[in-house]
Amino acid sequence: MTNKSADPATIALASYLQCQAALAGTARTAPAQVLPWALASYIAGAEPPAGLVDRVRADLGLYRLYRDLLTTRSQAWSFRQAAASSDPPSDERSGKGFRLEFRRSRATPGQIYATVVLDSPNTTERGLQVHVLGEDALLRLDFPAPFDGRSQRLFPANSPELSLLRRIDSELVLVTL
Amino acid sequence: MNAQALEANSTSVITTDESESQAAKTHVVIATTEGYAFIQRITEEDPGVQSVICLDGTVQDLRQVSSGYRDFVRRGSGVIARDFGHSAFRIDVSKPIDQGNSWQLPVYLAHALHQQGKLGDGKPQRGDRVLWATGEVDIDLSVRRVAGVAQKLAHAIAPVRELREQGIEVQLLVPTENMGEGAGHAEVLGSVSGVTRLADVLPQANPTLSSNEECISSNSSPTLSVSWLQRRWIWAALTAVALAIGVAGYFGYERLSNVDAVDLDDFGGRSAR
Repeated sequence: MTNKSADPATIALASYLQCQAALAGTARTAPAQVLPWALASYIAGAEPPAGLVDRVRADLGLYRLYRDLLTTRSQAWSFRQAAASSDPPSDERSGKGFRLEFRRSRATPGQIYATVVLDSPNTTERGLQVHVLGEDALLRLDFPAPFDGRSQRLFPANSPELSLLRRIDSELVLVTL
Repeated sequence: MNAQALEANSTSVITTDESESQAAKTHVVIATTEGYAFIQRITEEDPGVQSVICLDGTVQDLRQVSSGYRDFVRRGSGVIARDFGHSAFRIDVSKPIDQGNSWQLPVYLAHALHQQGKLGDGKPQRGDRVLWATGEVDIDLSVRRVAGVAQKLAHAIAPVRELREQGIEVQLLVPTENMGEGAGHAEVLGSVSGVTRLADVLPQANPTLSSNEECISSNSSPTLSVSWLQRRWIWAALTAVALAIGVAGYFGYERLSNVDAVDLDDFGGRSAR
């Protein structure tokens, strides 16, 4: 994954939102060690500094900042739905602007294709990232540049990433790099 | 084998000898500038899946070549779905392969062998055959020149020698336009043949006979694909006969006896009487 820096507007927004949160007293911990532009860079596709994702999960203010920043970069969104822990994993997730299809490989039944299908096909050759916001987990997954409006990855069937991706009680946000 | 273009000394890679095809498998190698990679298997995936090339049965998608493979499969831009009647495939290869299009010739050959149930798993045994190939294939199934042939032949010397010592026949195929490159390596290797058209090595490969009406839907069974190839082969034979009669009519009866005199040898190749 090449290091990517966020655009200046996103960094400025991150700083602004961080300041607002601090002033409103909604930041429970002093986020001084977690620079807003590190979070903005992460959303833009850069490798996160060590511990960033864990801190975002643990700090409500940072989490809200993270979601706010995602809205500025998102191409498509699938909101969280109610689900029981006993619910089987879904074969398809749909959201505003896309759907996510899951198919078992005939070559190796222990592997599953996850395919992002865009409502408005991406005309550029830029990759996608899918941010997964679960109840107790945050994940970012790289997908290749769409081909005919579809972008596909292959996962082991028992992969925790795939499991989180398929849970309808996780939020999915698509970001174009 | 003398390093000649295969038009003059054609050897089909898919034999008509059923007894030979029962036991021995034909394995296909993609020659690369870094070494080589065996094609391990081809699987017809769900039509909703994008065609993909994966590494050694893992979830690792070789993305650089997978995108090219998707184009190669897709109707319109490619030839695989058109010629083999399915729209989504997965190929597993033993090692990573280069960017570029030189994998197309070995991949097409592998598809043809797979359709006949003759593709090996990349682990050849004594008595099997290996096709070691490189070349770009266009929409008309002509084989075009590629880069790095001398380097690819150099990388082939040691592994090919090892295979032959195990009693495994190895045939190397390069575009006719590339013949002469790496001449020293080719001389050491032996059995390096130039290919101009896929029909040189696959008698049933003839793009002029493909038609939209014959394109099979992605949900069709493999048996329909086999009868589709058989119909194409019959049309090829009828076309050849019609041409022969036309030529005879122009030049006279005596010329017909020579044009008509084409035998198939035991390996399905063409040789004149």
